Amino acid sequence: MQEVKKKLLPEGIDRKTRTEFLNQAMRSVVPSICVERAKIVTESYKRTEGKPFVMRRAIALKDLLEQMTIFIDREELIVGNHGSRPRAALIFPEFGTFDKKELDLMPVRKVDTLQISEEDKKFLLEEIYPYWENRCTGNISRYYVDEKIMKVLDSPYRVFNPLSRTRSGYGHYLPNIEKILKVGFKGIEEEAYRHLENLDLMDPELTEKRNFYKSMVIICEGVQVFQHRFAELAANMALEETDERRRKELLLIAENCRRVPYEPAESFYEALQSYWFTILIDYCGQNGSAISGGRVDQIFYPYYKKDIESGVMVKEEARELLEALWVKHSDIIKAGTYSSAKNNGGFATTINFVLGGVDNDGNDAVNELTYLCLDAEKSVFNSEPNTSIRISSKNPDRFMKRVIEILVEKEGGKLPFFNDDIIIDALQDDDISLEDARNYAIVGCVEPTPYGNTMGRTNSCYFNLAKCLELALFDGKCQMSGQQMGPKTGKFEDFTSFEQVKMAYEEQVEYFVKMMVSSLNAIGKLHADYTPHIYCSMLLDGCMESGHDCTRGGAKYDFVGVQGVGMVDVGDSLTAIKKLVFEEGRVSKKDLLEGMRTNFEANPLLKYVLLNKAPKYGNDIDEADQMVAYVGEQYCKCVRQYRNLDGGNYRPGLFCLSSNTPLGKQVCALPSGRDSGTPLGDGGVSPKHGMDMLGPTAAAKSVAKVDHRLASNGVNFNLKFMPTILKTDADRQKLVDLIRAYFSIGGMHIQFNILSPEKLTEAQKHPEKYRSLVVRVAGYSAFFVELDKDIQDEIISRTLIGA
Amino acid sequence: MKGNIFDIQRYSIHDGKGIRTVVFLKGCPLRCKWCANPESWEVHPQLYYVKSKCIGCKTCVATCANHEVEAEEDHIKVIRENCTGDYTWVDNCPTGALRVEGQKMQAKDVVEEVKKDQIFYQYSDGGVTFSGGEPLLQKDFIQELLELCKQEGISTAVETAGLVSPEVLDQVRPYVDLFLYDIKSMDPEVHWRWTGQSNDQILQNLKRLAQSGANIMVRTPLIPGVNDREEDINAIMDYLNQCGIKKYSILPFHQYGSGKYESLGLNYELADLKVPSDDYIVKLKKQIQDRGFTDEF
Repeated sequence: MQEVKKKLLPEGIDRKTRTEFLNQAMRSVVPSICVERAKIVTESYKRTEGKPFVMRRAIALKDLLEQMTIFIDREELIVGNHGSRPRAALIFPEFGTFDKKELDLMPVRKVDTLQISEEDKKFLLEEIYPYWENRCTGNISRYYVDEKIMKVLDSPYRVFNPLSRTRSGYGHYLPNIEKILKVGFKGIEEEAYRHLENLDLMDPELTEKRNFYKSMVIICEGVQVFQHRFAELAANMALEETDERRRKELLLIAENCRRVPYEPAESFYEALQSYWFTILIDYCGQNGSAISGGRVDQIFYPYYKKDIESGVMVKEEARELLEALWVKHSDIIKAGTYSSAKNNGGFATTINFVLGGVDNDGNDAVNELTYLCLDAEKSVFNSEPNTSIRISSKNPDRFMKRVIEILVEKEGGKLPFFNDDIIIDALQDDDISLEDARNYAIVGCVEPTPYGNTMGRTNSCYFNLAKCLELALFDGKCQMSGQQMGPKTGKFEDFTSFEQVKMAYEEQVEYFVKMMVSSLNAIGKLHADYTPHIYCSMLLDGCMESGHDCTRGGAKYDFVGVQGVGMVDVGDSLTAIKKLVFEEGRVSKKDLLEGMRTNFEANPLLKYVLLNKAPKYGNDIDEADQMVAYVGEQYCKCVRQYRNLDGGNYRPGLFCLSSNTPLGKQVCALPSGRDSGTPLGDGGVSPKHGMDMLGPTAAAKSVAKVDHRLASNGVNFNLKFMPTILKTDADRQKLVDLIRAYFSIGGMHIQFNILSPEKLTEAQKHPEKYRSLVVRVAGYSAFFVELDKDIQDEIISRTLIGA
Repeated sequence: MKGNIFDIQRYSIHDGKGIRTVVFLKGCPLRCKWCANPESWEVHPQLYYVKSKCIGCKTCVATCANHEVEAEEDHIKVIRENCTGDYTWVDNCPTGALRVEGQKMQAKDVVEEVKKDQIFYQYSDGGVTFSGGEPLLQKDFIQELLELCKQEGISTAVETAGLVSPEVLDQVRPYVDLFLYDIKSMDPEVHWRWTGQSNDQILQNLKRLAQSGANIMVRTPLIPGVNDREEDINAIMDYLNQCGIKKYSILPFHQYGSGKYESLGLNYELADLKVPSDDYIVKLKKQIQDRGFTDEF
């Protein structure tokens, strides 16, 4: 490769070498638990007893930023560490505690394995957690969620479980980094002061507002201290650095950290550093995931353009900086309980980046930086950042082909495509303005969200639709526990028409959706009372203006996102019941119930009849597809009736990450022919594994029959391709055409897994050889070797198209 | 009218331009020993048994019409001479291990299936490809299919081995946007030995079709030890030059169809034949290109 003359950075190392070094260093870290945050925050809270919670949160964050261990690693260009070591998960005792059993499990569990020393365990259990026993939101939640609902949630086979939301902050939003780059935290601080000066003494919300703005000021001070600590550290390291090239780099880092994020960013390099500090601080402050970066190719573009045009930086240097930033995203990992890790498994922090799409005027927004970001993505290719692609009919084929080339080359499923044309419409259906809708980005995995102004709570709960069908067929009785779980909606044996089955099912769904909404509203109140998200509010338009925290409806847009899981299992089951029981009489009601109850033990042939003699979703057969579409619509419409405490809409989604595996364990055998306890369909609107027999066009057409616009919190369609059918440019063009056609008929999302099953089986046997293999599990990507064996098996068994 | 087809395959991307649906018609006058679609040979429906999918439930044995199957240990045996053409009982097989290969379909129903991917044809400049078997064997049926597709504005291709009467080609030609025409070998003896038929008519038809101005791509299945020497391919190219045909490509031999022979109760002779090496294919493709041929549809 030709040596590129550098302008911004000192000569002496090329981009590729640095990126490989940084990435290797990051990937070789064994993830662990860091207890330092727990110590600092607990001491802070003990000191602030008696103060309003909003201020206690702000002071705790400031204390953390002043006291936490900081370091700058070798060859880093973008600095700012999450824990006291790389890839260390922090402890957030104010949200929830881990018991001894859970802590003992961390280093040995199969998903999200985290090392923790005996000493640290003892420290948490003896020094930290006793204080929080009656103070953490996870435990206070029992005074918030209704007792009747709590009783339902006690069953391991429950239809939904919102309680993990009590153990963490909300995360799942798009901080307005664009604003920070423009005005800095200095600008935020000035605004807060201005509001404090202008408070109306007769305002009934005076107290709340005053404390809120004061808290913002406290945090701004903390931010300044934090960045200056890094500036000082870099300067000191430069003094001791013997390598001239690195010394110069450290001085550049020091210079950046003196300015951003408190001051506005003036260069591309500063903009990237400012972004990283801004997002990092919230990851240290609240225990939420999916705090996402948004449209990085748009946000950083003015700074890129200016520096390239003025000649202070060359393109290759921009890429070097981007790649250094990209690698940093693997530093942030979360410690969840084992059960929550199983739902979202594979260290899914899911910091989403979006590339492409349209601009404010609806024109093609792809620019030179978009392609550079894709290059950076290709060079680093870790599960974080979770990079997504926005596609409008205005975007060029060249852009899409470049993405597909990367997917084929890396053989790992990342870079999902999102359909601008549908999403912008769907967001407007949610009363979002056209301008804000056009500037949407993706939160977490698949959740389209307006940028910098939306409290979306996009992953609030999974709702088990398949369990509702089980209950509907057994008069509300859970077949796994024998417990009367749902309302008595009638005995299937007595039903004389298929319509009665549907009515019973709808009643079960409505009953549990109501409970879910009630419990999430209670949890909303809990967070507003105890753990307001002030820092997050500083980064969401509307909060400053209204004087309300984002947990109290302060942001311009307010939503709660809840996902229906098992839509396809229910749809295929209903089709089988309609056709085989009510139309053909091939299967008797008694046999069907017996088969479901006993997992087809007494009558194994029944399972094959159910599997093979009724049409399945995913083959472009209306009879099956319309049934699935009905199931999706019924759930979405049911959810859409509800509002949260601040009037925010409940937004339904149809995706599941990896929750289809644990949720499947809660459901008995189904009329679709699915065995008891096995995973539900993956990826929300994707056909059930192995059931889409007619290839990708038929599958895509089936999927598009579900009304994606109703599921504006996101859908997920996974399509697996063998690399062998994407070898030539002409093949890849056909995939581009496939995506365009699918989008033209209403598809909202499509994700390709391009890999061989042999490769995955090999990876199960030799994880050490496949550490870098990134796999997409139902809407997000993770290191394959870090997934649970069950989920690995499930990935392997999914339909292979073009084998 | 009704015709016999055995498969409709969507998202086919190597059978003409763009994204295509391939409709496979049953019946073929050739018996190429390397054939990957032996279920295409007979015009009429046939029993097809996939042993690995069979769970040995013997439902078929109990319900068959004329003792077409009998129990054998943990699976079944098909007795083909007992087959009468009545296969309604086969649907009783719960796993799909036993199925009927081929069905009679109305031309308009076939076209309904083809139309399902019309949106993908539009975006990719694709269309329908009729294959087989020899699709021109059911000449009135293919004529109706082609006319219906044209009425729907669907681009058409026909994959043929060319062993039909010249009149059939004349009849369909105005409705075919692309002919994918197979030439196996220029050597009459080799052709006889490996396909069971003479290549005389095939070659004459090709020349005649080319002269009529049809859009033709010639393709050769490259079979090791049969027609894979450079001189074999050169001889074909010489003939194409005579005909004025510019589109030519080779289709390397593969073993994907080998399992089908057992399922149909047929004998497969080429089980041990190795597939051509990638290097050799690349070399040959280069030579074809160097002689001025294109492999783009």
